[in-house]
Amino acid sequence: MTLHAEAEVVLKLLHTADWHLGRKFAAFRDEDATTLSRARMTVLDRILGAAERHAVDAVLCAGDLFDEPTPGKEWWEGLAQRLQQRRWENRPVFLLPGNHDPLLPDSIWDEGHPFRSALPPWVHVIDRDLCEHPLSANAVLYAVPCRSRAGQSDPTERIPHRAPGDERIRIGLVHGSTFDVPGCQTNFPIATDAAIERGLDYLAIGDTHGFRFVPPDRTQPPTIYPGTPEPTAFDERDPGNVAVVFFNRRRRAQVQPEPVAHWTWEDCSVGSLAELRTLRDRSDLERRVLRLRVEMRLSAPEYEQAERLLDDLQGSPARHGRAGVLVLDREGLALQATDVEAYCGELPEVLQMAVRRLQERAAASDPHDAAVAQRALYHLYKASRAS
Amino acid sequence: MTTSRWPAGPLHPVQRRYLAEDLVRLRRSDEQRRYAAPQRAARVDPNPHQIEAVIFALARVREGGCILADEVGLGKTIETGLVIAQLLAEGARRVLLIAPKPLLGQWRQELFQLFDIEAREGESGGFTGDGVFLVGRELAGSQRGRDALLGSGRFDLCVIDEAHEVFAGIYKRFDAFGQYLLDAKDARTAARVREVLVAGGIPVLLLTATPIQNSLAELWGLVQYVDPLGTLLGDLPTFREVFCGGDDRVLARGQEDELRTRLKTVLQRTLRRQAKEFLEKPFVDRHARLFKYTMSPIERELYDDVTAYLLEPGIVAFQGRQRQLLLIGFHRRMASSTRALAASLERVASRLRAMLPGAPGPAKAEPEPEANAMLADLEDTDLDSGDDEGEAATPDEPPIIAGEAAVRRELQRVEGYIRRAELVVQDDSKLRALLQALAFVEDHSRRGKGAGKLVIFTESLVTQEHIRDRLIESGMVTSAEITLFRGNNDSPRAREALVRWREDVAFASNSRPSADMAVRLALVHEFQHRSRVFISTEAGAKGLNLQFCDTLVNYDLPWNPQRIEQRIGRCHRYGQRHPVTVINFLAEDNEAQQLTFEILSQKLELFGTVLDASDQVLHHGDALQSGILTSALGAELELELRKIYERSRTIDEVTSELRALRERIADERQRFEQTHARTAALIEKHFDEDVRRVFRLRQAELPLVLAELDRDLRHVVASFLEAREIPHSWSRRETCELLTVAPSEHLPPALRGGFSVAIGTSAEHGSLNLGHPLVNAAVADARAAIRSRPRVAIVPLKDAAPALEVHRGKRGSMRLCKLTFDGFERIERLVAVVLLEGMEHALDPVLAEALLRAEVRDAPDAEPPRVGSDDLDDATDELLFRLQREVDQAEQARFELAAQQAEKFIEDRLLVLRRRRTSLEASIQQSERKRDAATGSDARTEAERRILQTEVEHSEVQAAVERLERRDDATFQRFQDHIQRRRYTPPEIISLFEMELVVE
Repeated sequence: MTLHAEAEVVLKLLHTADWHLGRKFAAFRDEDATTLSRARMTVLDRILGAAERHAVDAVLCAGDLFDEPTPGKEWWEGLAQRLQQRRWENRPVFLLPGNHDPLLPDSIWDEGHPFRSALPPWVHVIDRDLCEHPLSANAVLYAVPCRSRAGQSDPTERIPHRAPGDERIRIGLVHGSTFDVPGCQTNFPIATDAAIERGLDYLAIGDTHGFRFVPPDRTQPPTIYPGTPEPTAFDERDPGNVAVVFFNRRRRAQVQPEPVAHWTWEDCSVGSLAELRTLRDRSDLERRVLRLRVEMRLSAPEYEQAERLLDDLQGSPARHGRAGVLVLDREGLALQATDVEAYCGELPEVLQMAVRRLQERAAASDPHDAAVAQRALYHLYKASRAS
Repeated sequence: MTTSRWPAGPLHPVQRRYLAEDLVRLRRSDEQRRYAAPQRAARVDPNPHQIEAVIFALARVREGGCILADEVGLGKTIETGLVIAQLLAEGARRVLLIAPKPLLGQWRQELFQLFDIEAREGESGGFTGDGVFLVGRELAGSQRGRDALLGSGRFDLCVIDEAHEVFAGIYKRFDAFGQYLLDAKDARTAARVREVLVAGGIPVLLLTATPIQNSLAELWGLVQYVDPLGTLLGDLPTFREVFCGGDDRVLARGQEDELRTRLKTVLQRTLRRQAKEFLEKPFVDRHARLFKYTMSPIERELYDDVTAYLLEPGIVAFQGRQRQLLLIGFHRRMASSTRALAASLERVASRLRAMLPGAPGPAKAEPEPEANAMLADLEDTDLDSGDDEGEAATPDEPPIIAGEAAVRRELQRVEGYIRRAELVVQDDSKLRALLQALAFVEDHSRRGKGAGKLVIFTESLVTQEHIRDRLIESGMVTSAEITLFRGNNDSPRAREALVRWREDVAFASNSRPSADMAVRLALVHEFQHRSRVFISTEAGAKGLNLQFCDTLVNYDLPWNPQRIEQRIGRCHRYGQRHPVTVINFLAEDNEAQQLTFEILSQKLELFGTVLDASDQVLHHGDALQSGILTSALGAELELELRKIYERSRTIDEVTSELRALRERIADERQRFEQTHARTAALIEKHFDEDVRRVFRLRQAELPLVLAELDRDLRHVVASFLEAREIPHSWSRRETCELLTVAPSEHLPPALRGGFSVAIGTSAEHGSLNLGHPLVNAAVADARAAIRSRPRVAIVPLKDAAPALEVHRGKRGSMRLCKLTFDGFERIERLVAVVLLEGMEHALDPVLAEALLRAEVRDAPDAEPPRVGSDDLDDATDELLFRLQREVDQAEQARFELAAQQAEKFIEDRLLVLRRRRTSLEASIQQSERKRDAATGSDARTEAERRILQTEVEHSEVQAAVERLERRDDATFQRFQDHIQRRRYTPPEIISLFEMELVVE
C-alpha cells in the first residue's frame, strides 16, 4: 500500500483479541449452537483479510483466542490451516495466551502440541513471560502472556521502561482488565496509565468483548481493547471489530475500529401482534441472533396468527427462519381462548358441552389446570377451523 | 466534491491533469456521474426506472451480470444501450448481443440512432476485432456459431434478448443430482451459448419481460447465467426441494419472501404502473380493424384448386431439395396476393419445363434458379434456421423420379391455373378491400383521428409492386406519395431520397453510418416528411422507427407472430402519441385464414381490441398482454402451421388441424396465465411508493449531475484546444452550447477536418461525452502536460473554503494519488495529499481540492518548501489509511450480502438433508416396531435387514450434514475465496504527479 521504496518508515498493525474458538453455546438449539461456534472460525478469514487489505506489518492477537486451554482439534486445526494459507513471510502474527487459554503445560501452547508444529514460522506464540520482538528497524513489541486463569499481577509490569534515547515505536501486548469497578473482582489488573508509565506508543490488550479506548478521552498513547471480533453474548457493547493501527514517523498512532462480525446479537420484546408483524417484516434479521420475549394475551385467532409469525421468524424443517438465530421466550405469551365459540361458528351439541366444561376449568383457580383448559379450547378452535 | 467550481480563464496544467483524471476515473455504479455519463453518449432522455436499471446492471457486471426484467414497453433497449455505452467509454472493447433473428435489425438501428453505436451483424468467422456484434440466437447457438465465438476472443459483455425463450431451458441439461450434462439432447442452443459464456467468464445481461413463463425451473435456469458459481439458488434438485412445492410451476408455501429476497440480487424489474408517472409520453393503446372481403367465385375456385394441388403428396414440381421450403413459400405467397400467386405459378411452370427432355442446362438437374427466385421474393432470411434443436431443419425428402408424361400432365395443369390467375388479377378482391381501408384512414384523418399516413407491410416483393401500381392506378395516391422499402433499396427513388436526407439532416454524429444504414434512414425520412404511404417488405419490419405514423396495414400475415409484433412495433413504440390502428384483411369464406387470424388476435392478443370497418367490436382485447403472450406462446406457432400444411392432404384436414391448434393454444394460454398469476408476485413485490420515491430522486438529481458533467467536459476540451492553439468557437443554443472546431492537425485523425459538437442536449448534433475522440485526445494531452515537478503559486478563490485563510503564505508539497480498488466493483479515487510546512498531518482532502480549484500559476522562482519527501510519504500513507474506510463501508455491505448468499447455499442443502434424516429416523423406528412385533423369523430378519439398510443411509446423510456444517464444500469454498478476494484485495496506489506550492 505504501508508495515509496523505503517502506519501513511507517508501521501498521492489526490488533485483535478474544476469538474464543471452541466456545459452545449451550443455551441455543443444536443447529444454532453449531452455527454460532462456527462463526468464530469464519470470522478469522475476515480478520486475516483485513490484515491484507490494510497491508499491515504485523498482527497482534491479544489473548483468549481459544475458549479453553485444550480446545478440540477442529478448532486449532482450523486456525492453523487458515494461517498456512497465507504466505506472510514479512507479516508476523503474535498469538498471546489469555486467561481463558493460559500458557499451561499440556495446553494448546505447549511446544509439544501438534498445533505448534502446524503453525507457519512467521506465527509466534508468546510462550515466555516476556517476549521482545522487533517489528521493524524502528519498532519493537513486548508481549506478556497469562499463565493462569486468574491472577492479580499487572502483566505490563514485566515490560521494561523506555530507555533514554530509545526512539523506536514500542508496542505492548497483554491480556487483562483495566476496569477497577468497586465490588468487581479484577483479573490481571492493568493500570490505566500503563502505556505512559512503560513508555509504550501503543498498548494492545484483550479481555473485554467490546471495542474500548483506555482512557476514553483518546489521549495518546492509546491503550485499546479491540473486543471480540464476533459477539458472544447479548449484553456486549460494540463487539465485532478489530483495531487497525497506523503509526507515523513521529510515533503517533491512529486507531480505527474495523467491523468484521457477521452476526449482530439483539435483545427485543414485543407486546402486540402488530409489533410482532413489524419485527417479522424487518429486512435485517438474517444476520441477527435475536432473543425475543413475547408478552401478550391473545384470543384464539390472534394466537394462531402469532404462531404463524413466530414460525416465520424461527423457520421449520421446510424453510429457513427469517431470523438468523432465534431464542424465543414465550413465557409471557398467554392464551385467552375462553371466548372460542365466537370464532367457531355452529358447533355440534356435544362440542358445545365440551367447550362449556373447558371454560369452567379455565376459570378454575389451579393455574396449571386453567392453562391446560385454554390449550384444549385452542385446539378445539383449530380443529373446528380445519373442518 | 463535484459541486465545486473552477476558476474562470485557462487552467494550469496541474488542474487540467486533475480535472481530466477526475473525469475519466472509474466510479461506483451508484455514483451519480457514472450513471449520468452514458446519457451524453446517447440521444435519449432516460426515465428514472431506466437509470435504476443501469445502476443495477453496472453494479453486477463484475459479479456475472443480471436479469433486466422490466415489463413490456419500458425500454430495455435504452437500458442496455446505456450500459453498453458506459462500458465502452470505460474501456470495454467487445460486446456480443444475441437476439431472436427478427429483432436484429431493430437492435442495429436503435443502437445506431440512439447511441451512435454501429453494431456489426456477426456471421460465422465474423466476430473478430473490437465492436458490438449482433447475432441471431440460432446462429450463436449452432455448432459453427459456437466455434466462431469461441475462436474470436473474449467478449467484455454479452447481452441476451428475450432470454426466457430459448435460454431458460438450460435447466433441462441438469440431471437429478444437479450435474450439468455435456451430451444432453435438450436445450442445445442454450448449452452452446453457455459454453461460450463460461469459457470466457463473460458477464451477461439477460433481457426478458417474463422471467417466469411456465415453471420456476426456468427462472432457476436464467439465474445460472448471471450467477457463475451457482450459489444464489443452489443446485437444481435442492432448489426444487426448497422452493418448488413438488411441482415446478408452484412455489412452496411460505417461500415467497425468501425467493424474492434472493432474486433481488440479480433481477431488476419495474412495472408499468410504477414508471407511468415519470414517462413524458404515456403508453398508447392499439387496436385492429378487420376488413373482410369476399372472393369472386372464380377467385375462390382458383384458390381451392391450387391449395388442393399443393396438398397432393406426389406432385412433381416440388420434389427434391428444399421441397418443404418451396411448398411453404408457395402457401405464403398465395396468401399474399393474386399477383404473387400468379408469379409463383409461373415459377412452378418454368421449374416443370426445365424437367422436360431437351430443356436447356443439365437434364433433370435441380432447377435452382426458380426455387431461389421464389424464396428471394419473400426476402426470407429467417428460413435459414441453423441447427438449433434439430427440429426446424427437417431432412429433405428423396427426389421422386417422375416420368416425362407425369411432368407434362402437371405442367398442363399449372398452365391452366396460370391462365385463370391472370383473369383474377384484373379483379382482385383483397386489393379492393385495401382501397376501402385507405378511404377509411383518409376519412379518419380528416376528422382529426390519426396522421393520415399509412404503413403497408407485405411478405412478397411481387405483392409490394402490385400494391404500388394498383394504388397509383386507383388515383387515390400519387407515385410521389409512395415510398417503397425492401431488403435491397438500390433504386433511383431511394438514391434521390438519400440525397435529400443528406441535405435535410445535418448529421453531426461522431460515427458516419454505413451506406446501408444511411439508405434506411433516408427512406424513413422520406416517408416522414414527403410521402404518405410506406409499402414495406419484412426487411422494414425489423428496426425502422415509424412512430410518427399511427396506422399500419398487414396486407398479408406472416406465420410467425413475433414478426407481426415486430411490424406493429414499428409504429406502436416508445414515442408514439396516438393510439395505433392495425388493419388486417380476411377472406370471409376462407376458414383456414379465419382460424389463423383468430389464434393471432384472440389467443395471442396480438392486435388488442378488434373492430370491423363499421366500429363493431369483434374481440375485446388486452394489448398489454400482446408482447407477453406472443413471446410465451407464439414461438412455436410458425412451426405448427408449417407442419399442418405439410401433413394435410385436403383443405378440410387443414381446417380441422387448425381448430385443434386453436384449442391447444387456448389451453397453453390458460396454463401460462395461471402460472403467471401464481408467481408474478415473486418478482413484483416492491412497495410502489418506495420505488417511486427513488425514481423521483433520480429525476430531480439528473439535470444537476449532467450540468456538472457538461461543465467538466467543457473545461477539459477547452483547455486542450487553448493549450494546443486549435481555432474554435462557442455559440449558445437553446439546450446546449455548440463548439465548432476548425481543422487542425493537432486533432485526433477522425476529427482533423474540423467538426461541431454540442455540450449539453442537442437534437441535431452529437453531444460531447466521455467516449468522444476529442475528450480522449484532451485527456491524453492533459496527462502529458506535466513533465517535471512544478512549483506553483495558488490564490484561493474568495468564496471557496474559508478554512484556507489560515494557510495563506504557507508553502508545501502536493501529491495527487490515484487509488484503484479492485472489489465487487472496480473503482478509482483521486486523493490530493497536501502537506504544508510545519504540519504533521496532510491537509483535509476537501481543502486540498479547493486549492486545486483555485487560481494556479507557475512560480518557478518561489522559495522551495521545507517539506521532506519522507514527511510527504508519511502524510500520504496516513491520509489514505483514513480515507480507505469510506470505500470499505460500501464494500462491506456487498460482502455481507455475498457472505449471506454463501451461507444460504449451504443452509438450503442442510435443510433438505436434515429433512431426509428425520424421515429416515422415523423409518428406522417403524422398522424396529415391526421387528419387535414380528412373529416369524423371516419377518424379523426382513425387518432387521431394512433397519440395517436405513441405518447405513442415515449415517451417510449424517456424514453429509456434518460435512456441510463444517462448510466442507468445494463450491462454497470457491465462492468464499472469491468474495474474500473482492473484499480484501488491497488497493493499488499510484502517484500521478507531485508539485510544490505556495498559498498566496
